[in-house]
Amino acid sequence: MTFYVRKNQNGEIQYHGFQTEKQQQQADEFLKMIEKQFPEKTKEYAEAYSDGSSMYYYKMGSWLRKLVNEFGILNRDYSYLFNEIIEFAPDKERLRKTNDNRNPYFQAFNFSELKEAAVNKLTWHDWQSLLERPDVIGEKRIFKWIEEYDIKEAKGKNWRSLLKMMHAYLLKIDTSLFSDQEMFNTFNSFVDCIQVWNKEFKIFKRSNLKSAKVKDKKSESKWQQKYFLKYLQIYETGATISKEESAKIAQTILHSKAS
Amino acid sequence: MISENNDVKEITSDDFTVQSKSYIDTPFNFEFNKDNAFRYEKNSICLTVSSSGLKDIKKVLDTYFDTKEPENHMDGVSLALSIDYPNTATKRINTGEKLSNIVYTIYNHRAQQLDYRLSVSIKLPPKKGKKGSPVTIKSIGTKDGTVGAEDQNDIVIDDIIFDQEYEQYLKHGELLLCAKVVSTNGDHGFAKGERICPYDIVLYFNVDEKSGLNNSFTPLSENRPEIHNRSWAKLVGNSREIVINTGHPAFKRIQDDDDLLEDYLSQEILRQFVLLYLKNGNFKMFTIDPEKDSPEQIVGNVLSKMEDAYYQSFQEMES
Repeated sequence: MTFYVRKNQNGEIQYHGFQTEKQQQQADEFLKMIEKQFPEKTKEYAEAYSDGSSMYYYKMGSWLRKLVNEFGILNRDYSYLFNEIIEFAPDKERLRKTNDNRNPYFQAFNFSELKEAAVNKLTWHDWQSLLERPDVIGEKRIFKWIEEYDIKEAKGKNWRSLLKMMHAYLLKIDTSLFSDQEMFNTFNSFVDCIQVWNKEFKIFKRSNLKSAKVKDKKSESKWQQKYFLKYLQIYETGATISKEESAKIAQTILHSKAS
Repeated sequence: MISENNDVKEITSDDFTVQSKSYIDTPFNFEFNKDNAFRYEKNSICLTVSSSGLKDIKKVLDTYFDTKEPENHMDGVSLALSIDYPNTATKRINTGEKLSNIVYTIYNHRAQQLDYRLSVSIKLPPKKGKKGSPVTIKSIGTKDGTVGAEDQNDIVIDDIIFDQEYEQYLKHGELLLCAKVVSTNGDHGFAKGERICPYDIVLYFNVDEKSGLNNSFTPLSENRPEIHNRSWAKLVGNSREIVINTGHPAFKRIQDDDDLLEDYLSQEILRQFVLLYLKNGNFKMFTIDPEKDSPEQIVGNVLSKMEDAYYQSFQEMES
């Protein structure tokens, strides 16, 4: 059993729960260990893999996982642990305490489930946008897909579009019925779908250079969302959609919007 | 007569003359058969009145020939649950107890049969006042089946035992028993895997059903020998924090005796709760009026309320 601490308004130490002196001592010792080891480890990883890289967070997450196993920390206490690190031994400045998937240490902890070979396929920023979406990582096969497939086409802006699309899809469809291969095909077809959109939007933009609507980034994402939903509507029926067909969908949406 | 595909069959047409400021009734009988209507389809009976110099007037009446009006498919399937709780009066479940005789009934009100999969799981809801979706902590099981048109199926689920495993995730609080029906093949208006009807109920794990926000607080301790208070409380947004001063000599004396410690803590919590009511500006329950009453009266009333709560807590324990 491990006990956890936090700071009160005046910066004094507060113990979670009603704890006796002995339990408080245990909590103090645990805190001391964190305060000593966590900065040491993160410094070591920063030197080895460059600070803020995916591998840096992967190694940090693996260390946290080891810590959780060693002390038998319960699932319900994870948020105490990760917030304690933020308050007493953070590796970056200005981190905010949160109890959810936006906590960077929680993200790193989840991240360490992955195979090491896949870590550098995305930047940490892209990984973060995946890890803070509990609905998408609820479908565990997304990690397997990243491990097995070449996802060069799905980086940066495309990656976030892809996540939006997966969110819309997973909200409606329960994927437990599908085989791994079917799931991978779905994800691959989403990547194709986004590429088609990018191509069509580029053409459309060139022919509507003066339109303020087209220049506005918000309207692009709005139209894109519409295109995704239309695409998913057809995709859900089990039909395979060729690139030409999805291009046609994109064109109809873009032309109806611009007029 | 217009079909779904906009095929048209003319029924009849006639010429009339209607006098100014009057009307005519033209009774009209129509018998549906294969020749004058489209079978197994939606048939719209369309009446058009045209006259020179005026706009055409159209009235449409939708009918369904040997078929049914397509239902809003979300309404077409529903789920019901019958269940035995371990404590019959409440939905409270303690560690080691079980839910038994769990039977889900799936009703199919549609004209087509439904191939379904029912999945049941236990989920952890997001914290009160926080956004987010529930997190699955244990999957109980799935059952596949087929329910005919206008029919119902009973699906029996094994007993769910709430063992130590659940305490990994939650010491005490609310859990969700979630069931969902998904379509296993992609026809009859549903996509493959489409979530059709979710059915979630709240369970109270190691906690009483009624203990809402009113009785909840965050327990904390601080080691502050320089402060002479045994405990203090704070309102933080919508929640409350009660801090026990573990540096107080009174706490140090009893901390190693579990029974005494429990008594001590419950007394302090009780006291802080009465004071929290006061902090909330809830003067009614103390029968005091800060503007009229003298300080002695106010202090006296507050103290007697504390004594009252303390006394009642013993009565509750005995009953």
